[in-house]
Amino acid sequence: MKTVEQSFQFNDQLDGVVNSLETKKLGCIYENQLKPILESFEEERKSLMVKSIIAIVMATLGFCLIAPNLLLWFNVYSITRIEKTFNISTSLINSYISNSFLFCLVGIGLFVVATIFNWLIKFQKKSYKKKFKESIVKKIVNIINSTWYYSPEGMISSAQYYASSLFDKKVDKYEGDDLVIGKIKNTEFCLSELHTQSRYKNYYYTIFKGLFAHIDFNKEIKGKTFVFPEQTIFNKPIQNFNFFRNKGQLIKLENPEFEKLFIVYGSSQIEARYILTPTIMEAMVKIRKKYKTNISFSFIGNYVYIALSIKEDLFEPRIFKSGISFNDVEQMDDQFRLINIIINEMNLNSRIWSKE
Amino acid sequence: MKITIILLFGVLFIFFWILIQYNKLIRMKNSVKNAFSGMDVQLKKRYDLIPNLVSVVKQYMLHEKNLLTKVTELRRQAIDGGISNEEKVALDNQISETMKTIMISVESYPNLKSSESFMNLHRNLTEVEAQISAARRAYNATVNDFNNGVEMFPSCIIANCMNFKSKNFFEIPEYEQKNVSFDNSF
Repeated sequence: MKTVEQSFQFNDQLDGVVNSLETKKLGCIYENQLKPILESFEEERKSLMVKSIIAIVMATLGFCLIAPNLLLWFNVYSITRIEKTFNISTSLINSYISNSFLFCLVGIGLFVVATIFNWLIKFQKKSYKKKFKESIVKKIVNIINSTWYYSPEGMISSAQYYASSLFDKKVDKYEGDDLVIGKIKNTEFCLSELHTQSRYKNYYYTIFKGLFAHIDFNKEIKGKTFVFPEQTIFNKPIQNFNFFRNKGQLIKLENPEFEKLFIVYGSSQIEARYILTPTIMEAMVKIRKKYKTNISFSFIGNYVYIALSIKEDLFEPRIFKSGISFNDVEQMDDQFRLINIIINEMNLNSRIWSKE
Repeated sequence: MKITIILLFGVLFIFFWILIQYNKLIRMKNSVKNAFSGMDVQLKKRYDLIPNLVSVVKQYMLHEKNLLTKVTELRRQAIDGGISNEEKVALDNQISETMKTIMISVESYPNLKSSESFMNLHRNLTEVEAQISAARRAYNATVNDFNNGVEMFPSCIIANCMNFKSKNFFEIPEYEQKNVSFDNSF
């Protein structure tokens, strides 16, 4: 007879074995299928890198030639002050002043050429990105599940984003890519990278950046339940004042580890507990620990909405670093597997409830 | 004069403090009541399903007649009324146990297990069990808040004056602590 602790240890060991097997499988696929493609991209990546560096050097050089002129024209620095501050001899400054027009012209010329060059590179980068996504990212998605549909430029609709009610701020810029639509057994899902921003005067600030998904939920939901990440240790006493009043009542649950990581609000105490069973709470803790980032959930209508915050751009090729990297491929695989993990851990395929 | 003002403020402070504590305890007591009625609603849903279950399985489970009679009798006692909350809880626990035994017995009847009417009933029962479990957990959470109010200082002073006593938690069986489902029995 196994104790509860032994069962948990056994489960963790089993997870470890499954993970290492999956890593090995991915390693084989990487060596045999992905690495040759990445190697064929290397030449193009290097040429893009060199072109980008040339554009940056030209722009810097142009700026260096124009900058002293600007300082003098706008009387920011007098000749004597330049002499003292930068320890440059007067004769050198005088020779620069006498040829200032020429320097300025060359500087502006370099700046213009760099801008045009950069504009041309942008198109090349775009086509490189497209090629990368079509051959590498698509392949990774197919490795996970060959029936899933992947669209490099698609994204989750703003209607679904608003329907999640996870973010209240008005969105002024809605961007996203890498849409994946699929089904795992009975459970349909939709996942994409999203970046939503709000405008304050002329400045855009991020509301959400990362992976956003909605998955069919296997239980009938009438109200709304929200699971937000616990931000700071100071939040605990503040929770009782209920700053998320528009999200419903504060719901305190029994799992102490879950309570440390998340804060729950909902329209009904009973429904929140109907959704957040001990198994689902454990699953959420596991997911939060695996991805080590803020993750929010909302349970509304037929869906569970998930927002996983990730600061960097996802599923993008790198220009200034070698593209032949197993770690990058593994990371992409890990991010797409979020859906598998959520559906399996949260038992969303179990259709034992009255909802078909 | 100064002493009178200080005393007046002191009395006012104590009065408002008592008022706040009193209201807080009443609010918690009502929450417990409300949570219990929430659970009652779910229990009633299960009572409604029991006759359906009995009628579906009785043609197959001829050897388990006692079990079916027991569950019908328990249901009758539960819906008859005139019983205290504690008795209701005890009855509910007995019903849960008997239902679980019936579900395990279904294992021996593959025809019954695969019949559409039983499968529909099974889904509904699973749903109701999950709702009952959620309602029990919600009830326990409100009882926990109430007990804290009754036992912690200084609110315990007011609770004692009002003759409030700590309430018992709903015991959740070990199998339900993991995940509620009749599915485990298959």
